[in-house]
Amino acid sequence: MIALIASLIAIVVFVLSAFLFILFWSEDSRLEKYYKLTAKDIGKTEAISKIGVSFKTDVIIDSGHNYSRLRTAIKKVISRIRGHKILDTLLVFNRNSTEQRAFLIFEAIKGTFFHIELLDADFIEDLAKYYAFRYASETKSVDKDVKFLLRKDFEKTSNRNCIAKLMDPKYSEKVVLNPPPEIKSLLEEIVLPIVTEWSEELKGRNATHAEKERFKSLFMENTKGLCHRTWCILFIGKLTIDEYMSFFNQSVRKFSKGVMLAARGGNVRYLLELWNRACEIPQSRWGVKFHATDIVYQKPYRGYPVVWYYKFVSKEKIA
Amino acid sequence: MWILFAIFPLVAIAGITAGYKLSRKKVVLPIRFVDEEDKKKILEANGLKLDENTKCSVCGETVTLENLGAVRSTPSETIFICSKSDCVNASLIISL
Repeated sequence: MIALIASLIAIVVFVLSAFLFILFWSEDSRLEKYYKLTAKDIGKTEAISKIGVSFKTDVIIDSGHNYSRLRTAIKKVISRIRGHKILDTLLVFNRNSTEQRAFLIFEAIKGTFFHIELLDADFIEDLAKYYAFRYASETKSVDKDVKFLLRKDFEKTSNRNCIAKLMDPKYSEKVVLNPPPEIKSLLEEIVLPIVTEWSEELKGRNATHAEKERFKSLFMENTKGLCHRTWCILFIGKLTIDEYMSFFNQSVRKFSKGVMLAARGGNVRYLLELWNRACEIPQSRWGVKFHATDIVYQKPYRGYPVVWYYKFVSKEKIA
Repeated sequence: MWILFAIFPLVAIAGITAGYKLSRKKVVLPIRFVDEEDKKKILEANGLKLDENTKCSVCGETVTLENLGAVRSTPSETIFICSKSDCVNASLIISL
C-alpha cells in the first residue's frame, strides 16, 4: 500500500515537474522568438537587405528559475553540437517584461549594424534605435508598451533630426542636384550602401586602422553635411558636360563644405571629364581649395556588374 | 523496394537541410534577466563584489547595488554596466 502511494506521489511530482518545465520553456521561448523574429524580419526590410547584412547572433533566455537553468543547459549543449560559439552569460537586472522585449528587439537590430565600421558608434547606435522604433511601429505583433518605449528611446537620440531628414525623400530634393529617378531616401539609397560596400572593400584590402579612421571621418562629415545642407550630391547621367559644369558651379556657391559627385557604369567617364574640367579652372576663382577622395567599387545593378564611382570633393577656404 | 524509393528523397532533403543549418554557425549569447530581489544572491553566487572602484564600462559612472544594470563575467574580466538605458542597451555589443 505504502509502495503504491509512494509511486503515485512520484508520478504526480514527475508530471508536475514536467508541466512546470514546459511552462518555463515556453515562457523563455517567447522572449527568444521576439529576438529571432526581429532578426528575421529586419533582414527582409528592403533597405537592410540592400546593405547585405547577414544575421549571425542568437540568444538563449534564462529567467533565473531552476527549470530555466536546466533549459539553458540543454540549449547550450544543442548549440555546441551545432557548432555555434557560446559566450559567457550576460546578467541583466531590473527589467520588466516590456523593457525585456524592447531590449531584445533593439539588440537584434543592433546586431545587424554591428559590422558597420565606417560610421561613428553613436550614429550607428541611433540608427539602430530608429530601425527598432520603425520595426516595432510596423509590426502588429509588438505590444503598444514596447512600441512606446522604443519610440521614446529614439526621440531621445541626438541624431534624431538628421536621421529623419535623411529618410525623407522630399528632403533629398534640397541636397541632390540632378537626381536619378530611383532616389528615395538618402540614408538607404546613398549613405548606407556606400558605407557598407566600402567597408567590405577595405576589409578585402586589409586596410590599416588609420585608413579606416580617415574614411570614417569623411563619411561622417558627408552624412552630417547632408543633414545641415553644407554638402550636396551631384549625379552624373545623361546631361552635357556644360550643364553639369553649371550644376557644379552652383553647388560650390551654395554648399559650404563639399560636393559628392556620383556616377555608375558608362557615366563614370563623364564624371572624370567634369572633374578634369573643374581642375582646369583656377581655384582662386571660387575662393576655395578642393580635396578629392575617390570611392570606387563594383556592385551588381539590375543583374549586371557595374562600376560605382563617388568623388567626395571637400572644400577648404583660401585665406 | 518502393518504400526505399520514397524514403530516399526525404533522407536527402533532411541531410541537406541539416548540413545547411550546421554551416550557418552563429554566436550565441545567453541572457539572464534578474529581478531586484535576486540581485544580491546572484552576485554572491557568481563571486562578484561591488566597491567604490567599480565603474560602468560604458559611461564610467560608479556602479552600486542600486544602479546596477548588467554584468558579464568572463574568466579574464568582469564588465559592470549601470542601469541607464543607453548603457544597458550597449551591453550586448560589449559582450560580443
